[in-house]
Amino acid sequence: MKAAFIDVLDSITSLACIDVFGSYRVGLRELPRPAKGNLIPNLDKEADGNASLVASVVGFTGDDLRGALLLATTFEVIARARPSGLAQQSLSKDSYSDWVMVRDWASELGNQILGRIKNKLRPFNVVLEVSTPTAFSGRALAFAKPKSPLARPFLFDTRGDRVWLWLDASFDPRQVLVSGSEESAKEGDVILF
Amino acid sequence: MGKRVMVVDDSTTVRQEVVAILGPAGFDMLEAMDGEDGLKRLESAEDIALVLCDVNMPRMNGIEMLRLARERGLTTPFVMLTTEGQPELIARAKSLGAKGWIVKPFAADLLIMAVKKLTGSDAG
Repeated sequence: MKAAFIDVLDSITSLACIDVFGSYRVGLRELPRPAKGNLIPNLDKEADGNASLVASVVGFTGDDLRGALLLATTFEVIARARPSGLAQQSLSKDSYSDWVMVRDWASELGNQILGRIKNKLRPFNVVLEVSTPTAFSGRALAFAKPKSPLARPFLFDTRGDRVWLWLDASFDPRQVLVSGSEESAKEGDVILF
Repeated sequence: MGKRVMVVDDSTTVRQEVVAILGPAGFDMLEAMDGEDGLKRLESAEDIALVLCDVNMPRMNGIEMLRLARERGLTTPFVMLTTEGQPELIARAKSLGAKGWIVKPFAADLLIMAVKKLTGSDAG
């Protein structure tokens, strides 16, 4: 299969985010992409003004693609997306330790989204090295201009809450990817040797 | 007391998730926050039946932890529990003696089944 790099990135990034949240029982609906001049909105204004926000960043590098993935949403969405075995334990925005847990899980979700993107790019012979994620939180998060003019913004809705995702990556948009390399193991696979 | 399983992951939530799945299934759970921490615990505790180990972690990644464990003569079985799925990495872990590879997010019943099989445990 042949496809333009930019089209492959758009489709697998959006799907990776939907699939990861879906695997933790949180359904996402993709909304129209933010306008080009508004790639990095002020989250505090776009969200409910009192929303408590959390964001995670994971860097990656490779011969064909390098940059960072940024995931941002509300405390409530991350708390709702916790693994089912832990979901019955409710988290409070008033608890310092619960904020630590929410940042920890936001980091892991960002890591899992990037993991999916990485695994889906592998058959196109695009290989990425992924760094360890980091997360931060606050009430008035806003982000500087993306490093890459090709940054891909994605916006999702879940029960009225927003999930923002940016793939701030440098790549050659004219590059045509050809699939055919060995596929990666898929999410949920259990391989015993 | 069931077989002891150590989960090595820099995410507290992932460790808690694994403990919440395997603890009720009868396993005695131990946690480590990265490869360095995991290696220390593995060297000091002789009764660990299985290590469930993330790959991408700060300080020391899971592949390096596995390599050093083997270099130091530790034969405890490892299963890598990771978002990574690249064939080269899987082959590398296998060549170092890992017994399995699980790609996150994972299903609880499959995790229990794999851990029971690899520990020869009928716990739970």
